[in-house]
Amino acid sequence: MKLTVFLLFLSFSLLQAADSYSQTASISLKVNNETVQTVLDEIEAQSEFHFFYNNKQIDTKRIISVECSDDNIFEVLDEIFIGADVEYQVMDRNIVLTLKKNHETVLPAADILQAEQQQTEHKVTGVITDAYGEPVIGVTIVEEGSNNVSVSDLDGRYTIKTQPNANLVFSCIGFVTQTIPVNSRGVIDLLLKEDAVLLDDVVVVGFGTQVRANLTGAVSTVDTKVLEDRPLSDLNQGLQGASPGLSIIYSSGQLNGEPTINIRGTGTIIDGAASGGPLILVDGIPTSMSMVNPDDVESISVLKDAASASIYGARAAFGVVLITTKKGSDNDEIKFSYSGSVGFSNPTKLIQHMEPIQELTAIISAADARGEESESWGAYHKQNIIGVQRWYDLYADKRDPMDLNMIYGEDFENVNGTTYFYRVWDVEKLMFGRNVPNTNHSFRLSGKMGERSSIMASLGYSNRQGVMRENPEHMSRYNFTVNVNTELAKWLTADIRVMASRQDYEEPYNYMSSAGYSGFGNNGYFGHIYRYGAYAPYGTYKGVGFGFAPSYLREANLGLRRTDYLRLSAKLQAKVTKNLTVTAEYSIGQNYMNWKLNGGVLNMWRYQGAMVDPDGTPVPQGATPGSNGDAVKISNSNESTNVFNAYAKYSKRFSTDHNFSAQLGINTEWSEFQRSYSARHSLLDPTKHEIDLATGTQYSTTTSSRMAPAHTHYSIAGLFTRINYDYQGKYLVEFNARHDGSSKFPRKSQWGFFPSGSLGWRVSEESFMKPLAKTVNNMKIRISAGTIGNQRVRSNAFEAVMQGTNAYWLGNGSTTQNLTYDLPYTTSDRLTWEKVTTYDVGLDLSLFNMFDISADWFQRNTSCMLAPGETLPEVFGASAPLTNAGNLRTRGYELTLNYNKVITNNVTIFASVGFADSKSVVTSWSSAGVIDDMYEGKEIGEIWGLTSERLLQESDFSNGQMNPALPDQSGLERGVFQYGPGDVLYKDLDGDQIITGGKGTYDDHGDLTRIGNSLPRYEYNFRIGGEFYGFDLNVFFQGVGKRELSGGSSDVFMPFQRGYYDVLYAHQADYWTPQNTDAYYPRLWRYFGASNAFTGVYGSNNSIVQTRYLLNLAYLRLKNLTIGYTVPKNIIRKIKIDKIRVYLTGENLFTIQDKHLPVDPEVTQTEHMLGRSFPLQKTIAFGLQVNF
Amino acid sequence: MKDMKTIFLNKIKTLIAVAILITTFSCKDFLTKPPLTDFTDDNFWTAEANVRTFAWGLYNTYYGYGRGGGQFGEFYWQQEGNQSYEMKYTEDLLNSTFLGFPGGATTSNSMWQRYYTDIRKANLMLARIPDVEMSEEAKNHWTGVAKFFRANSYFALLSSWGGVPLILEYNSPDDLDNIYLPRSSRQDVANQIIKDLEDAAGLLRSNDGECAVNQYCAYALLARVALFEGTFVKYHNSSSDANAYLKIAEEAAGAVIHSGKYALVSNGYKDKYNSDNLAGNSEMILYKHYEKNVMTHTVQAYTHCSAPALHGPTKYAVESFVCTDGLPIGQSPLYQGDKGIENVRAHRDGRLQDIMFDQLGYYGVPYQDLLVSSTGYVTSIFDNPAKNIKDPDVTMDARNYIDAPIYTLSEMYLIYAEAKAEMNTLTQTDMDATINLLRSRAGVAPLELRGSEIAASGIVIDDPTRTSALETITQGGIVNPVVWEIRRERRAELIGWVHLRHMDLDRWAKGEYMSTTLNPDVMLGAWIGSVPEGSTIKINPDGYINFFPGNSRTFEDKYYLDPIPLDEIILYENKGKELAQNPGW
Repeated sequence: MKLTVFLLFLSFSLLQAADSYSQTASISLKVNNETVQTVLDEIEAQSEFHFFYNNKQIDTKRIISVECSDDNIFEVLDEIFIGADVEYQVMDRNIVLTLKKNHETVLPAADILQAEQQQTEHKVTGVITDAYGEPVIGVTIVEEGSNNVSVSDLDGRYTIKTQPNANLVFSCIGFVTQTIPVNSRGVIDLLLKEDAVLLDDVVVVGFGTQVRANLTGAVSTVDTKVLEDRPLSDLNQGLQGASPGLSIIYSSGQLNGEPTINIRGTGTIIDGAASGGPLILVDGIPTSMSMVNPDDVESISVLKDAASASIYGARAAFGVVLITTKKGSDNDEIKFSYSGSVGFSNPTKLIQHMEPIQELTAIISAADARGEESESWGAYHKQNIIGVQRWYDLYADKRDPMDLNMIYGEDFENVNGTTYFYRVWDVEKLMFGRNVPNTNHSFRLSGKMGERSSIMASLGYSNRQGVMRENPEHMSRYNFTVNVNTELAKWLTADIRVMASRQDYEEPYNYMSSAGYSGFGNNGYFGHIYRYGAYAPYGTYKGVGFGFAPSYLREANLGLRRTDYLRLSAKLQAKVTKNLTVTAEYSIGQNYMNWKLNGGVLNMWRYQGAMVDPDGTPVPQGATPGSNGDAVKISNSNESTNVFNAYAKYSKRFSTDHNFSAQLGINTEWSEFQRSYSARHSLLDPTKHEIDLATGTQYSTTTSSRMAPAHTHYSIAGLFTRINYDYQGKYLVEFNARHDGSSKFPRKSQWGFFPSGSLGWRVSEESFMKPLAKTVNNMKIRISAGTIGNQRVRSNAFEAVMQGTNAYWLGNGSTTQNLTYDLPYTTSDRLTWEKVTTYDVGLDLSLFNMFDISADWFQRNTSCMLAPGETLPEVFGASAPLTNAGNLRTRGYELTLNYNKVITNNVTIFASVGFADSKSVVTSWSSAGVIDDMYEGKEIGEIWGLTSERLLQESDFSNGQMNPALPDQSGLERGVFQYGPGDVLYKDLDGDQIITGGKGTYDDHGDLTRIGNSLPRYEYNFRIGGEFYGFDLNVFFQGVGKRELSGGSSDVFMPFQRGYYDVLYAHQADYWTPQNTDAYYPRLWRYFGASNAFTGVYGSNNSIVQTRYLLNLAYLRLKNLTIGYTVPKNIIRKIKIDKIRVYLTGENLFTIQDKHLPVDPEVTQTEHMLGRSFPLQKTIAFGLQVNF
Repeated sequence: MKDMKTIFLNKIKTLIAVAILITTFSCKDFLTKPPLTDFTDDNFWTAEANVRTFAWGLYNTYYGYGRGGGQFGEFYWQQEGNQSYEMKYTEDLLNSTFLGFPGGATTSNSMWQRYYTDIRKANLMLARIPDVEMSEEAKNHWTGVAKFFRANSYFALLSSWGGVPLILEYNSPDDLDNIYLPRSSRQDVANQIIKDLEDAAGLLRSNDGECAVNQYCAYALLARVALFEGTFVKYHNSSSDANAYLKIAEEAAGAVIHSGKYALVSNGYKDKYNSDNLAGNSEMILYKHYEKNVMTHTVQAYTHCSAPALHGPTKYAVESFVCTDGLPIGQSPLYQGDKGIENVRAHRDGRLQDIMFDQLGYYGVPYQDLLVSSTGYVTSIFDNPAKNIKDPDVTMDARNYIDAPIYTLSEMYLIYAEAKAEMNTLTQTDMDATINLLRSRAGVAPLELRGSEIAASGIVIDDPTRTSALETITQGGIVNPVVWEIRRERRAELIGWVHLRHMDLDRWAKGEYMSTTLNPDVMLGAWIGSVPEGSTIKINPDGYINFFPGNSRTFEDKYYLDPIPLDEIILYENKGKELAQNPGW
């Protein structure tokens, strides 16, 4: 690296700086009659040294011959500069060459004059730091228009003598050059901005790093700034929207909810469901992102195409997320930093009940229209409405809305043996918390321990609470990380990392779910709290609740899910020769989980139907639904994952044009998972979660797949290689290959060979681009292609496995269900690996030193997917064996735009935009083309439905008959329903005047078409921000351009969809009546679910999946907004603090979404019913950052 | 420079260490990770205990009062599979949701799938048993078990669909010729079932522990199958020899009756249905045991909760019970009419007292402030008086654990008598040794054979219902008085068994009993005269509870057989084979 400055001036402190690298690095050279310039270039190529010198002083054209082998740099330099009176000073890996002092006399006379003048001129000093408050070493400070130069020292300090009215130019590689007028100041401290165009940025790739300029695969890095200062509950949340093509989708706001993570869309199909997530490696070992302290993350690379991911083999078929934690800094002294925030959260969007009088009136009229008596569990709504009105008139004013106590005869009563409830509750206020607290703290130290080691240690803590007002879920996490890097010998370094995390998640025992816990579609409290109108018994009578979800929630014991993660890794890196490095690393990660659930019989009033004695005294019932309620349940699991890698890298530059490196290694991983379960019935004290304190039968079987005993293991092994070659840094070639083995496959087909390659052309390095060099700073075209096998296929697809299960039988006197085994899986000998081939074309462009543009187009073919074999008739008695018959094609593109501009020293702005889209289509499948199934041509996520035209009006009917000119949709009628005014008119798309679903196949789908897709499309994000005299602003938007969902059989979306007259919600008020003909919803009618009632048609009557009521889940969300202020250096320096920053940050602050969507657009989880699930939280927090 | 040699040696040492590590992991077993918690077909079949373990899975076929926590069962209500036409119901019970007959065939049928899965399991057992290390006696027994359950599955298929493809081998998925088999004739399927059961009766142990299939279970099922098929072919005008089947039924039932192992429990009618544990009950040939908190069901909760209404016994069912003099209500001077529940119950068959509570329960007037039924008659057959009817172990879903009978001695008595009556070989001795024992237990006067006539309390029975218009309309036609009384006896004794009653209507060709137009009494309940204030119950002009005014269903002959799933027919067609649909579908 050449630095064309005129003079280097070094302070004495620099001269004394000892550097370990210079002592360990060894150089081998053999040159004959080359210029000094060439030799220095060669040393730079071989080593990590950079030379700084003034080529007016140092004669680099001199021809020399040098021969040395594994020699110390100083010995080599001595040989090069023998007799030349050159002095070398080492500054980290920079070597500054100057003439020895006694050569000052040879300076030209004019320079001497100037030098003498300087003695009398203005002296400026100052400290140069970077955005992180770290001192910047080696910054060149030049007085504009002169030869007067200075360089900053290890503490970032500089001194320069200059004219009082001069301009100083501060420049340093990797930072934006700044010009500052002196204006007679004696002290100028400067914050240098990192250069936007980080061409020399090093990117973490598989088993190593690569200079960004030389990357040829589709690798994107996540700017870790997106993680900073955010009140995140885990790393997954922070990465949402952070990298185009990396899709992180939450289905609810439950605190411990695990998102679905995808790189570039659906990867494969397992058991008929879209699947295929990336391999997530933290420091090289598979780790759950939720166990990582977001503050520890140093870098995140997303390897998207086969060429960059294939080195990881068959687990990486759908991309890799490489997360590296921070290591100790090179600071001489240990530096401390603290960062933390305290804030509060609220639900983003909740469905609202309809006002009960309005609700009951509507429900009764809907029932009347069918000649039915509207009731919920035998309680007639006509009675409810009288009582609710009376309650409003007489008692509403006397009630404290938050006082749960209900008064018999006023708030509820017994009529003819049935209990009726009248008191109207503000459900949202009563059930959901306001300003729920949350905190994050992270404390870190980093720096050198002695000469040879550096350390980074951090402690993190975060604490979160759920949205419920009483008995909320609760999650806390502690993270402890220690990373030590040490030099064992001059040629051998060790990197030892320890990561420990504890996550505690507490939630109330879930009586609504047979499993006892909520989430994951287990009929949680959310689904049931909204089950009835706002007059349902949310309160208590004589201190005892009614057997309805709110009481269960209030009374339930908390269960604890404790996850302890401990990871140890050690890496040894040996520099065997100066070209060859050998690395061996071993990691073990242990994930322990202890999960305790504690039910217990709750004493409650029964409330449905006839539950109260005639004299008005309710009869309390021990109401514990399900046979498993009264029990303590404990599940313990341990997963241990080992990774051992060994690899060697050889790099060599042949002359200046040919750069070559090759890597060869092995990667092995083995893992074992064990889980045990025990439960015991009949608790003596329901608050005590111990097996020993229950009196009933103890047993070890459960229907919960998340708690049931299990024991699994797997191993993988791979031999991999990577070869890189570039010519003049212009033409880049990379080749990867892996011979991969996996225990997933039967022995004879355990191994597969998977090659990939990529090419890059740095167009900007071509001479014809030189005229444009100021405009086009960088331009690179990349193409890649490669194949990876996928081992994450259905488990036990290859063996005639007989799975154990419980028979519904107690035979031979057994008091537990008899164990039995299912039929062996039907297997086929012909099964082989699933192969994933990716093609990628990319363009990287940097313009005007401000804009970075990166664009990729890709196609991924997943072939030989395990698809059901040709269907056999049921008389066979089992399903057909799988075949490698499925192919899936995913195409998409990604676009990133970055803009950075330093306007003045104190004003910068940045903006970035990310955009990605992909679509997956099944290109081959063994099926008959049934549209609810996989078939050739299916778009993953597609929704088939009818196209709705409008609502039918009275004018469409005469004498009760629909206008015969309209299409005949009577075939969609079910039960006693007949289409009438206020119902949906569907479009006859196939022109046969009859609305049908045809045969429900792609070839004959009647009037059905693809009306939407449930997978997110056009995922985008954009960030803008900047700094302004110590203030900083960061605004991060994230959104989905297109996504649909059918409302399913959920009452939330279509009134009475489930076929009961139980509840209406506020947003459903706009239903058709003869007076409200322009309504959104059709006339009220009881629908019976949305099952597949007619061939290919989901639902019936008005509740068929259709365009009119398709939910639009597109959204734009202000994901994060942060405003910070950094206290000026000169104020805090006095108290020996490097940096103090305060900030205010907000998460999920607002969302733009479809007006007909009554819930948060990210909530797609079904808790009893779609839409009735944990909303996301919006969080506002105040934070503090201190470095000292 | 002076350290070069040392450094070099150290480097070599490190490389050797790395190489050792690599070779440590390169052993070829590294990638061998077989399933740890599952067996495979190759390593499972090693001992008798394994075979027994596998066989427990076949017992899932017995729904009893419901599977683990489940709500579907063979008693009180039955719902099999996921298609509405499989909702088996009878004229004895009015479901709280109005049930009609299905419109058309569906694409698939989970029961069709289930029984063939069990058949494959049985065939796998038969294929593997010869190589399992166990005694010949054990091999015989488990061969018997496999044949028993294979027969059981084919009987379920036969009773629902008639003749079906007969798969008798554990087929490889490639052996398409043995998979795409056409439907065998009804006769071939019936004969295969009988052959398997006769084999099983010879092979099975006479006792293999509590709640495990034994020799007498095989006889019991054989008796049930043979009676079913004998009467089915007789009343559906088949050319098959009905008497040959009826003879088998007589002998099989006789083998159980005469074994001396089983005896009626005095006052034990209700005990069969409401006991926490049927172990030691001498009437039980096989029963399904439930255990609190372990394996439970919901039948009591469904008859002990209020919401929104329970299925109630129909007026038609209640009127079929005789008076204590053994005479039908149309004849008995003891009959007090049906105005008021106390009159309904007065001087009636003890079993009527056992199946319903002594007070009505309907909307606005719940029984014990709790129970309302669709007919006003509140089912009590599953009620155990030892427990409070408001006990959560009774009222809560999936918390009930009374045991369910599967094969009982009383059914053998009924089969024996019916088979002989159908063959005209029934004697008074037979009658006294079977049905009259049941009647005596129910406090009803015995039946007396008088040639082709039958009498009780000295009066020749001439039930006007037997010759009503409804009977003449049905394909089964008017039956003789002896058969009529035996059928009545069967109905009274087995009234909770929706599953068996539905098969009875099929085999007697009496589907019209379920028609609401031809037999309006199946829609009616108790007489209440007028609707009390505060009640929303609806009544007919005569004052009987009419839960579903305006709803109706009519019976068609095609309902005697279920439709073959359409997907199956198409799959056969695609292979150029035929799987014929049942008539009318």
